[in-house]
Amino acid sequence: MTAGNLARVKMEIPQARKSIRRRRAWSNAVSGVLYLAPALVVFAMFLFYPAVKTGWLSTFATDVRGMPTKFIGLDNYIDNLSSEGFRSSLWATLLFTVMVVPVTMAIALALAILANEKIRGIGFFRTVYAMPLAISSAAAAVVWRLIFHPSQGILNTVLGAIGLPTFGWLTDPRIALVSVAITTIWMHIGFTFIVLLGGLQAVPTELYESAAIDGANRRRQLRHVTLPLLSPVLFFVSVVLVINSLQSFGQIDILTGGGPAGATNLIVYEIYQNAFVRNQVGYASAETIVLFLLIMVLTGVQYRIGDKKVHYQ
Amino acid sequence: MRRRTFALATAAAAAGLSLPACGGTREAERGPNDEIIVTFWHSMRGNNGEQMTAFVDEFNENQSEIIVRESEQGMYDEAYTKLMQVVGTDEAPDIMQMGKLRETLDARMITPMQEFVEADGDFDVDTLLPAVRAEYTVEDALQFMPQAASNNVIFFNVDAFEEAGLDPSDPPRTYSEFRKVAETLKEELGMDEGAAFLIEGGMFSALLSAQGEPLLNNANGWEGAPTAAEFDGAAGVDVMTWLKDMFDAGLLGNYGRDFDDMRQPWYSKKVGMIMDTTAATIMHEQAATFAFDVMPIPVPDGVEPLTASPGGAGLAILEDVADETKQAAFELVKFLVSPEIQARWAANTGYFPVTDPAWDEETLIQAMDEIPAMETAYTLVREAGDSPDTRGALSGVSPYEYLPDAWEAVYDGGDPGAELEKAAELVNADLKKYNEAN
Repeated sequence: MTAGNLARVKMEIPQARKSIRRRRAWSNAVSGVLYLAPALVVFAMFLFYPAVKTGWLSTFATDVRGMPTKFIGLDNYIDNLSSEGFRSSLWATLLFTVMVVPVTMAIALALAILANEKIRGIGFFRTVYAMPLAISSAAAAVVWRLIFHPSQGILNTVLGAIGLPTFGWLTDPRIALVSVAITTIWMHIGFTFIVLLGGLQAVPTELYESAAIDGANRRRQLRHVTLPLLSPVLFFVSVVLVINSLQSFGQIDILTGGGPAGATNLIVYEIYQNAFVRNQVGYASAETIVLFLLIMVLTGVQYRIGDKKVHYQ
Repeated sequence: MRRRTFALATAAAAAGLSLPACGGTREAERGPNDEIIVTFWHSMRGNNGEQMTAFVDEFNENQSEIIVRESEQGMYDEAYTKLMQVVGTDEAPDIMQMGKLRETLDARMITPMQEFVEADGDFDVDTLLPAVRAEYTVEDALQFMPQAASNNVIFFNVDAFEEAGLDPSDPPRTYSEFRKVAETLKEELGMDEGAAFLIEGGMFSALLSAQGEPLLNNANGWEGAPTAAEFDGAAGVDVMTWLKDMFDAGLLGNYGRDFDDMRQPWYSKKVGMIMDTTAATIMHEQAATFAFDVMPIPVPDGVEPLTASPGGAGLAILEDVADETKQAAFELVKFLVSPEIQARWAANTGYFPVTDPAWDEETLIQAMDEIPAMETAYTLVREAGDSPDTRGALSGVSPYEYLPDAWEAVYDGGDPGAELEKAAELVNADLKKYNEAN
């Protein structure tokens, strides 16, 4: 149908019916908004208002109370994009995300595939694998700090006992980020495992049966049946993990405090320090906006790639 | 019907949003029998926290006009961060233990202690130890009341010294002596390292303070707002180079930034000497299975050794509080610095007594008799007096944020001068921002 035809069809609608329709659309919109209102109010209070305020604050210099005192335009942004600390913090964050996301997904997927088997006592293993989910990041980090202690920790004690070199897991700038990543991977495995296991259980058994009839062995079944059908879940998990890694805070605060020598000063920790320790709220707000844009771009890229690779049933 | 509910909810939410903006004149919060309620935030944990709670309970039981509600709010920095979120609201405390003098003055958040002292007439500021008094005196007025005053010192294992053939009554004073002792401990006793220093701004500051060197210019901020760092000068580089050489030789352990992580190896005799705060004295007394004592922080060869300035925290009464409540809070202050309480506090924690009369109390004399480390440390501070050169930095920008990074970078092979300069540039930038905004 051409545009001309469309116009003619519209013209044929009688005036009265048109206004009824318009009124109906209007009242639909109103009740729609009302249904959304509770969510909107909550979002407005806890997301939109703080977000706008953060953007506003990022253009000011702030005093010890965090109150804006002087409008300085984009100076905060220029400062933080040109500061070595901010750039190395961004770099460490990206490195950290690259370490955490694939490893977490690989381990959780392997565990989920194992736990998806129908054998006796599998419930026990499913519970154990999901356990890290129930442990708060603070508690987990404290336990890992004990494990990593240079002379009292179990890790170095065992390494030393069997004659291997020991490490300053949290005190050596070259290793600390890896140690924090290990802790974070452990913390995220529970959640990732549960979501992936749920995804695996949703794969219809007929598909495996027909694949088996076609002569596919377990590995081929995994490659051609399980993974494609699991891809929407894998995609979801990867988005969540990337965002979580970019926002890591608790374990950093407890394990290293951003050290040694800034090696684990991930972006959210850097923001926290500037906002609440150094009381530079304006500068920290600018960093927050940069992080927001970064997450938005990364998630956008993930959706772009995801759309092409993900197989929806 | 439903629409109206939504409208009401929206209106209520909007009203809720604007609520914190309202203020009003303050009235004292009252208890069931018209007692004035004083909210007190502190940062005392473990044994020190139990002591603090016990003293507050004692205060509450001994009179019926005031009820003090104390709560531990995390370490000084955490507590201060919390305060900044609630200052000016009803959630804020009336009195608080804190260390950040310059910021609180710039934010006009506190009422100077001097005002209460003068109006009251009961408390004689001249009885305060000169060193602690000076730390909290700005513009000739006492701002905070010293209360939990402590000092960074070196704790050492006396048994290990004797076993290694060292004389515990003649501990090392200079960098080269200290290094030699660390070597002996490591070689003779097979320790992991001779000594361990916590990676922390306060520790680095103490190493400079013991030589009378400032962190920041304008006499560490005492002669006007500081505008630049000075810790990257020759003295700072010397300290860092000494630390680096000891670390590289395996004589100085790196146990990170947390006190507990550094104390454990000392308790288990894997290191012989640690730099730690006197506030941990009783904790050490309970955990160490060996005799221990305290020595002052060493200085470079040929430099006259001073006593590093006291740290810890003072009591601050907040400005935005009802007058009656402020008075009630000051009663608590007077109680906590009274000779008897100060003596018991010092005897049971390791925070040294801040007033002179406390030294004559039997409890304290006895405790110092039993715990040599306590006597050594307290005597050091008492004899030190006030020297402007050793005073801690008075600044709204704390270099403590950046010093640990530099320290760790040096251990990792960085050049002491270059790393300190990097830290100094960051501090300078922060100082510039701070001075512009405040």
